[in-house]
Amino acid sequence: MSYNCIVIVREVWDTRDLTGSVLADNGSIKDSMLTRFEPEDMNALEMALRIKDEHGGKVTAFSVGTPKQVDVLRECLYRGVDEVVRVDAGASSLGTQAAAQLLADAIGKAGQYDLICVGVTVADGESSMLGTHVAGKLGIEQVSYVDAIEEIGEGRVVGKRGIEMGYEYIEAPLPALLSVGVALVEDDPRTPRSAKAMLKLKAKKAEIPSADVDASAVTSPVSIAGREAVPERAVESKDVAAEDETALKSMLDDVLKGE
Amino acid sequence: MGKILELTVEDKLYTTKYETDSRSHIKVNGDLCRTCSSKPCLRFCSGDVYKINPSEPDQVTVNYENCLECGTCRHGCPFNAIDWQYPDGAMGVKYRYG
Amino acid sequence: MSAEDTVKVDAIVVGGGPGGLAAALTMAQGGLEVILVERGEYAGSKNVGGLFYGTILNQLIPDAFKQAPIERTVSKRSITYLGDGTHMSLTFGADAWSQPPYNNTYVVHRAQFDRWLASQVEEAGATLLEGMVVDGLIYEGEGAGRKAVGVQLRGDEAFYADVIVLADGANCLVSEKVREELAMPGGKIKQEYAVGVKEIISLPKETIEARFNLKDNEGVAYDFLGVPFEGLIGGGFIYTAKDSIHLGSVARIESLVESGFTPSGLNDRFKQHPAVSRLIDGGELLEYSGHMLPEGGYDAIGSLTANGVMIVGDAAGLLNMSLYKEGTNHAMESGMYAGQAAVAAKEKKDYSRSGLALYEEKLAEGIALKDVKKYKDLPDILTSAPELLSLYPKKINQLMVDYFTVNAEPKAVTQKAAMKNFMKDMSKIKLLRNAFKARKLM
Ligand SMILES: Cc1cc2nc3c(=O)[nH]c(=O)nc-3n(C[C@H](O)[C@H](O)[C@H](O)COP(=O)(O)OP(=O)(O)OC[C@H]3O[C@@H](n4cnc5c(N)ncnc54)[C@H](O)[C@@H]3O)c2cc1C
Ligand code: SF4
Ligand code: SF4
Repeated sequence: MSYNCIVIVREVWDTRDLTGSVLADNGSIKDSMLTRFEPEDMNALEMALRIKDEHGGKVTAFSVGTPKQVDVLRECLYRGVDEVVRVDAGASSLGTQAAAQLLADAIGKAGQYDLICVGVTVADGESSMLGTHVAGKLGIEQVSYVDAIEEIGEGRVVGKRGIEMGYEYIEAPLPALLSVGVALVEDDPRTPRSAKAMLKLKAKKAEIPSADVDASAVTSPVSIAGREAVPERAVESKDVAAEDETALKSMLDDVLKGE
Repeated sequence: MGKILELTVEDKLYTTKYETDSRSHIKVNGDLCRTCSSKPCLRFCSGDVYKINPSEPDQVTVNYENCLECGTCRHGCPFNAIDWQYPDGAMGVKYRYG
Repeated sequence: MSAEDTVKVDAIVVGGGPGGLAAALTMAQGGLEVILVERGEYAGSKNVGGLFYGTILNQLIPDAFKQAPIERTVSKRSITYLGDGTHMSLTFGADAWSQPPYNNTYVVHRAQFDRWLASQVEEAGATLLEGMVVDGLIYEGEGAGRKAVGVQLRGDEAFYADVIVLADGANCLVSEKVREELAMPGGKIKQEYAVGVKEIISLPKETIEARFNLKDNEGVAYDFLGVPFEGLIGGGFIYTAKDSIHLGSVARIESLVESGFTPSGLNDRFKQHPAVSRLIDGGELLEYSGHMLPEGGYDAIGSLTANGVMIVGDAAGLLNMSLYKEGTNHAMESGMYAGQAAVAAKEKKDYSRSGLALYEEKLAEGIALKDVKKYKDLPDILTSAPELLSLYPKKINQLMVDYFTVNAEPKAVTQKAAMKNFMKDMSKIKLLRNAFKARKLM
């Protein structure tokens, strides 16, 4: 049996570049700051592609907004998804709820699907609830922090999740939304595949279709009201020889005293 | 970060951006290292990739994640013990300034 | 592009540095269908440099430097000898260097500059395939008729082309392999390499302009020799970017191995010299990088053409390793000629070694090869007379110290003593011989 999978992918700030020089005087992020394909979404993409490899079917990728530097939808095509859909967010940046509403509208119009995969965390904000909200709006089940798919079939999916002492297996009826977790399981199945040269050649200039949804219909009452940079704190460090017990002890005392 | 004159090579490498692959692009033939007494790889590598293996001092460990892909090890190892290949596409070091 | 799952184009370029980009641009402008394969996520992400010499780029893209991401133009150059607690410089600046075309010398961040250049090449019609590794070439035929017909990509894919331009830079695994597989004759000597490391140090724009005495977008390129590099075939450099400084050291690999310094440690020695440290005081490290430079010079350059293949840029060994460290314009010049040869070959439908002969003919008439030839004895000189890099400048530096030291002695006495001190340990004959050799350094 084959499955139709959907992945939701995001372009996020590359927080590894978040140094003083990328902040403008008012604390906002300058355009020179680079962006990247959200790594957890890349894992979600890999999960969906593996279901297709094994069982056949189709993978469709959705993303909200226009690309800044990395066209994540094109990247999906380079790695083997069948279709992509851009969801126009209008002029303003959306809160999580509003983005989820737009995605749910777009996914609702895209036809039958069995599974939605999305990364659980986003490096650039606290919007790791995106998947949960999308599932809520679509009225389907959702399982978060899934590390791998153990089994899929007969109208259900079994996800594997790493927990402190081992793994747990969660079963949900299809269609379901899985948010792909951060924990690394031993046989990490999610190392994302590389892009294929041939697909890249074909998709480099392909047109990316937009979803027929109305961004102006969703408004977000939540917005960023301001930003403030935290002043840098000078931390003094001390070198202490590992053999020098008195020095070690006095350092420990200082720490305990809160100095 | 410490003052600019006092940075260690680790401090420096911390500023460099990488897409780290889960597999190493560098393989070292340990049999050859056994006979290599001067171990120049501990010194010529710009990325501080090679370190003495503490449990086997005639062997070196390979911190391939630090590799700057300069290629020096392909010419500097006296026994040609280092098999260095390009990392996969888009993986490895990713300069912002270069 | 042809049907289904074989890709066959006129030309494939391996490597998106200045050499490969110039080749792809020339061929695209000449109407060829071109694919450029670059292993970095974007062109420039693996590349290290500092200055960009713009003569060839200006021919390929008129007014390129009006749009390119330039950090500063170079209005002042100097060579400094670093002694023990002393320093001695020769500085040269020209008013004309502050006016277009700025002596064609620019400070750039290569990761950003090459990326921009790649976007121009794409606009000219070439297809850029970034994030893809070429593992080798695909051949047809045997013996002298063996020819390259395509590239093998990592991940078990193959693309085909009539001609392949190899521009894989100093660390050129593909060119090395192809040389062997197509039995391309090597140079008179084996290629030798230096390793360079560099730190990008951020400083406020105003601080840089005050410290280096600069106006607006002016910048400096300072080169250094002396005590931090003692016993090494190598030196250091400082180039000013907009709000950061490039500070790096380069040393021949075998001399580095002998010295026992690490590349990073060598750069620290250079950085910590009082004449240098004051220039970067208060700065913060933004990036550390490492890269090789081919330094064998003219005699290490082998055949650069085979059936269906041309090698350009650093991979061809076309770097001028004198004080100028010119590689960018040489790479672009060779790339441009290779591109022109490919365009001509397409007209004749002859991509054999002789069909591509135009490349090496043009190269022989061009500037890059002549310059590299001019410095052809340099590797030899530096190995046979290391005094040129250490002892003599050190001596001259000491002469300055003795000469300018203000004390109670009459000037005549000071000067005589200074000269005596200068001649100590110096063989006059050797001095003469080396003076002759030193002319070739300049
Ligand atoms: C520290 C330092 C300072 C320098 N300073 C200067 C200077 O001031 N002025 C100057 O003119 N020059 C300078 N150079 C030299 C200059 O950087 C080089 O000469 C120039 O970059 C050579 O261009 P290239 O195109 O031949 O190679 P590169 O610029 O090295 O480009 C090679 C490209 O090929 C790609 N590649 C390699 N193998 C593959 C593969 N198998 N598949 C796909 N892609 C591949 C690489 O990722 C890279 O992008 C300096 C070099 C160093 C290291
Ligand atoms: S230099 Fe080469 S042979 Fe010697 S220890 Fe290092 S890797 Fe092994
Ligand atoms: S290429 Fe070799 S020498 Fe250069 S950083 Fe990597 S491991 Fe070290």
